[in-house]
Amino acid sequence: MTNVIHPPESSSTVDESRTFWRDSWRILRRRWLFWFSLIIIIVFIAMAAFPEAFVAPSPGPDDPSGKFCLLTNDRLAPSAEHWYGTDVQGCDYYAQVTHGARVSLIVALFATLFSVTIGILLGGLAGFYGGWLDAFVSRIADGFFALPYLVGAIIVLSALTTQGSRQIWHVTVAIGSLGWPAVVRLYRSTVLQVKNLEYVQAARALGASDGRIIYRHILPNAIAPTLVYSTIGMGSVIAVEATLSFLGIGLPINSISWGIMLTEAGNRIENTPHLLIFPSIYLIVASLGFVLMGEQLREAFDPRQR
Amino acid sequence: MATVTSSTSSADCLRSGSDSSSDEVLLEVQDLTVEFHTDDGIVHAVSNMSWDINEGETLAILGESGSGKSVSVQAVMGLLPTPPAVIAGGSIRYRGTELVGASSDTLRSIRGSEVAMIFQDPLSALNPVYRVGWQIAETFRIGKRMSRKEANGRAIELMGRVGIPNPEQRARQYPHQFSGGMRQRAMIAMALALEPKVLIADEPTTALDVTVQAQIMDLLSKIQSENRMGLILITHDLGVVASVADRVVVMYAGRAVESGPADDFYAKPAHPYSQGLLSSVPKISGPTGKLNSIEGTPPSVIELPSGCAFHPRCPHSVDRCHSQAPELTAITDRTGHSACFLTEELL
Amino acid sequence: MSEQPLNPADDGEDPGELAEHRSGVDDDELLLDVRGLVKEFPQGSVWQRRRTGPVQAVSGVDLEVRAGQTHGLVGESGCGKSTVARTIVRLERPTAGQAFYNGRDLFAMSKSELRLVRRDIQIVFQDPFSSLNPRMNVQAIIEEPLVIHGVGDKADRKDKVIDLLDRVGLNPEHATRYPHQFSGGQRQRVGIARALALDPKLIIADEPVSALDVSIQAQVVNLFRELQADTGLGYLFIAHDLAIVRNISDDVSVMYLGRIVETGSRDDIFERASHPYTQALLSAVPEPDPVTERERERIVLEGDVPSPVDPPSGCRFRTRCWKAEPKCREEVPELVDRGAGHPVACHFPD
Repeated sequence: MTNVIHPPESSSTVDESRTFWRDSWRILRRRWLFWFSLIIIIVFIAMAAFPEAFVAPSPGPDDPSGKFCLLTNDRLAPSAEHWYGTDVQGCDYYAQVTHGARVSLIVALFATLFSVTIGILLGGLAGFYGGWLDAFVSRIADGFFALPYLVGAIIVLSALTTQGSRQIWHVTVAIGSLGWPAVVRLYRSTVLQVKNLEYVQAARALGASDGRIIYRHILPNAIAPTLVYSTIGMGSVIAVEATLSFLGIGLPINSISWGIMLTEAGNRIENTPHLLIFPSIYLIVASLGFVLMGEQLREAFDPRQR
Repeated sequence: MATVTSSTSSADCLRSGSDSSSDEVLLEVQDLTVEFHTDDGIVHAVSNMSWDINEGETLAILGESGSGKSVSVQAVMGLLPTPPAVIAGGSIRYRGTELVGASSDTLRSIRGSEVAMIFQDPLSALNPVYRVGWQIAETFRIGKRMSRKEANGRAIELMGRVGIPNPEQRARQYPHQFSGGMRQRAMIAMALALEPKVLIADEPTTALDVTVQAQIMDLLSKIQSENRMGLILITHDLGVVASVADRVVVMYAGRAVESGPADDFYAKPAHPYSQGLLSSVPKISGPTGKLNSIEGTPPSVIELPSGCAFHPRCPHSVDRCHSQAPELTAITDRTGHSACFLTEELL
Repeated sequence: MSEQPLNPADDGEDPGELAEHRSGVDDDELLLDVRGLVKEFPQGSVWQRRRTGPVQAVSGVDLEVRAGQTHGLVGESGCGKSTVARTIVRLERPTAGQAFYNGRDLFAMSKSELRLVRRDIQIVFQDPFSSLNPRMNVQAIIEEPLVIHGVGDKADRKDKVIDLLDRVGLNPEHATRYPHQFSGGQRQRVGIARALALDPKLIIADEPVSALDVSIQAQVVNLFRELQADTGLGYLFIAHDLAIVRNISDDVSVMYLGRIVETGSRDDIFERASHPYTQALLSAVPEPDPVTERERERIVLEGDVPSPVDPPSGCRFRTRCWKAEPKCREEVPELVDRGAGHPVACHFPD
C-alpha cells in the first residue's frame, strides 16, 4: 500500500448534503417573495384545475357551471350576490373569471413547453457542435427575431387556421413557435460556456460519447438560466394570449379566457368598467406570480448569491 | 484623534528594531479583527492582527489562500464588502489618523492619494473602453486638478518611468493591446500618479510569467527606494519577495503566526508552519527527491480548530496546543515574534 | 496492490489486442513518441475567415515519454505546451505530425481504435475547480471512465472507487460527497483518481499543481511520484514552474512560441543550459533565500513574447535574444546536439 497522506476529515467540508439544488432551496425557502409567488401560482393552478371549488354549487340542473346565467340579470354592477357583477349574458362574472383561468394557463404552460423543448434541442445542438449547424440555427433564430411579434402571430395563426375555426392549440402553437428563438439563444450561450469547462474536456478525453457528454455533463449544468427564463416567460405568455384574443386573432370567441373577456369588455368600458377591471386584475396577478417566481429562481440559482 | 502610542500590546511586536526604525511610521494596524457574517456562520477572516510600515520599508504579508493575508489591507483601503464584512475590533492609523470609523471625507483624502494599491489582475482593474494614457491622466485631472494637456504629459512621463517603451505611442492604446506585464506597469503608473506614501501590492506578480515577475519586482523595489515609500507586498510566493522584503508577517487561518526581519525568517523560520512552508517549496538547485510537505489541508475559517489553529497539521503539537491558543511573543535572541509554545525548543 | 482484472473490453473490440498492450511493462520502454507535431488554429467564423493567418500554437514538436519516467515540458503562458497535451489526447485535431503509442499513430487512428487507446492515456487538468462536474458526486466522477468503457458491474466499480480513493490519499467516505465540499488539493486528488481508474500507462498532466497552494503542491507532487514508483506510469508533466519540473522530471524540454528550444536530461537543462532562453528562464526563478537572491545576476529579457499569429522568421527567440545575429533571422536553428551533450535549437549556444 502506498503511504500517502490522509487529509484530516471534514476540515474543509461544511455539511454532507450540499448540492446545487439543495443550496438553491436553502436560499429560496427563506424568501417571503418566493412563498408569496408560489401561493399565487398554486391558487391559479387550482383555479384552472378545479374551478368548481371556487364557485358556489350550481342552483339548478340547467346551470352546471354555476355561472347563474340569467339574461334578465345582464350587466349588473358588483353586489353582495354577484361579487364581480354580471356580464352581457347575465352570467355571474366571478364564476366567468374563475373559469377563464383554465384556458389562459393551458395556453401559457404548453406554449412555454413548446418553445423550451425546441429551444433546448436546437440551442443545445448548435452550441455543442458549432460550425455550420450553429450558424444555420442562429441565423434562423435571428430571422424570427426580426419579425414583429404580433405580425408573426397573425401569420402563424392564419396559416394554421385556413379551414375551420381557431382552437386553443392553434394559439398555443403560434405563441410557442415565436418563443423558441429566445430560448435557443439563451441555452446555446450557456452550452458554449459549459462545453469548454475542463470536466467536459475530461469526459471527452475518456472517450465518452456525445450523447453522454450532452446528457450527463452539459444539460444539468446549463439548464438553470433557461428554467428561470421560461418561468418568467409564462407570465408574459398569459399576457400575449390576452393580447391576441383582445385583437380578435386569438382564441375562438365562444371560449372563456381572460383575453376574450377583456376583448368584450373593451367595447363597453364607459357603462360597465367592472367587466374590464376583474379579468385585468387576475391577468396581472397571475403574470406577476410567474415573473416573481422566475426572479426568485434566478437569484437562487446564481452562484454569486452564495 | 489617536496618536501613535507605544503600548505593550502585540502591535509593538512588529515595530522593528532594524535600521529603518528612525523613519516615520506611516501606517499602523493594531489588533485588527475582521469578521464576515455569512449564512453558514461567522467567518473569522482576521483575528487580532497587527503590523506597521515605516517610510522606505518593505513589508511582506505571506500566506496561502484563505489565510486572510489580504483582509487587513482591504480594511485599510475600504475594500471590504460591508455587509457581510464587519470590523469587529482594532484600529488602523495613517500617520496618527484613525481610519476605522472615520468620516468618508477623511478616508477619501487618504485612500488613493496617500495609500495606493495595485492588484493581481491588471486586466480587470483597467477599463477596457478607455485608452491607457487617458486612464492614467484621469488620476491627475481628478486628483490634482490638472489641465487635460498637462495631465496627458504627466501620464506619458510616468509611463516612461515605469518602463513602458514608447510611452507616447503606448498611451494611445487600449488595455487589451498591452501584455500582462505592461498592464501591470500601467497599473503601477496609475497607483504612483498621486505620489502615495504607502503602496500596497496584492499578489502583483501571480498572474505573470516568471521572466516578467522578476521585472515587476525589480520595478517595485526601484520605485520604492526612489520615493522612500512604504511598500506592502501580499503574496503566497515565498520566492518573489525574498530579495526585496525587509520584514515579513506569516499568516495562517486569519492570524499572524510569525513576524520579523525577512533575513531571519528565510534563514531560520521560527514557527512550525513557516518551517513547513519554506521546506515544501521545491528548489531550482540542490538535491531533488520527495518534497517535504505539510500534512492535511488548511482549516475552514468558519470552524477553526480549538487552541492553535495549526495543531492538526503540526508535526510538533503537544497537548497544550489543542486547548490553548498561543500569543505572538518575542523570540529570544532575535527581533522576530512567533505564535507557538515551542518556539524556543524548535529553533 | 491487487488489481482484479475487471472485464476487459466489452465494446466489441478484439480483446487479444488489448491484452497485448497491457502486458509486460518494461522500464524505459518507449511509450509515447511525438514527431513533428503542428497545431494551427484558424481565426474567424464560418462566415468569414480572417485575412490574418492562423495562430501557430505548436510548430513542429518532438517528444518522447518512457514508461516509469517523467518528461517535463516547461514554458511560459502561450508557448503552446497545453496545446501539445490537448492534441496528444485528441481533444484537438493536429494540423500535422504523428504521435506513436506502442508503435501506432494516435493521430491516424479510427474512432474505435482511439477509444481503446484512451484507456491507456489519461489527462489530469490544471484547474481542480472546473475539472470536476459539480453535479456529480465523487463516486460518479471516478467511476465514469469505467462506465464509459464498460468495465465491471456496479459492485466491481464501487470497490474500484474505494481502492482508487485510498491510492490517492482520500477516505472511502468521500465517495458520496460533491466536489464543492473539498479543498483544491483534495479535488486534484479526485481528478488523479479518475485518471487512474482505467489503469493507464501514460498520464498527461497539464499544470496539475499550479492552481494549488504551496503546502498542497508538495503533497500532490509527492503523490505523483509515489504512483509512478508503484505502477511504472509514464508522465508528460507540463508546468510553468521550473522548480517543480526539476523535482519530478527525468527529462525536460523547454518550449518557446510553439517550438522546443532545448531538451535533455534534468541535469542537462538545469545544470548545463545552453540555450539563451533557458538560461534567462532559469535566472528569473526566484528562490526563497534573500542571500542568494541579492547576489544573483538576473538575465532580464527585453520586450514581450511575439504574437503566434505572426512569429519571427528564423529563430523565434531572436527578437528578445542578446546574442541575435543576422543568421538567426534567416535560418531556423535545428534542435540538434551542438556540443553541449544535448539538443539545442540555437545557432550560438554556450
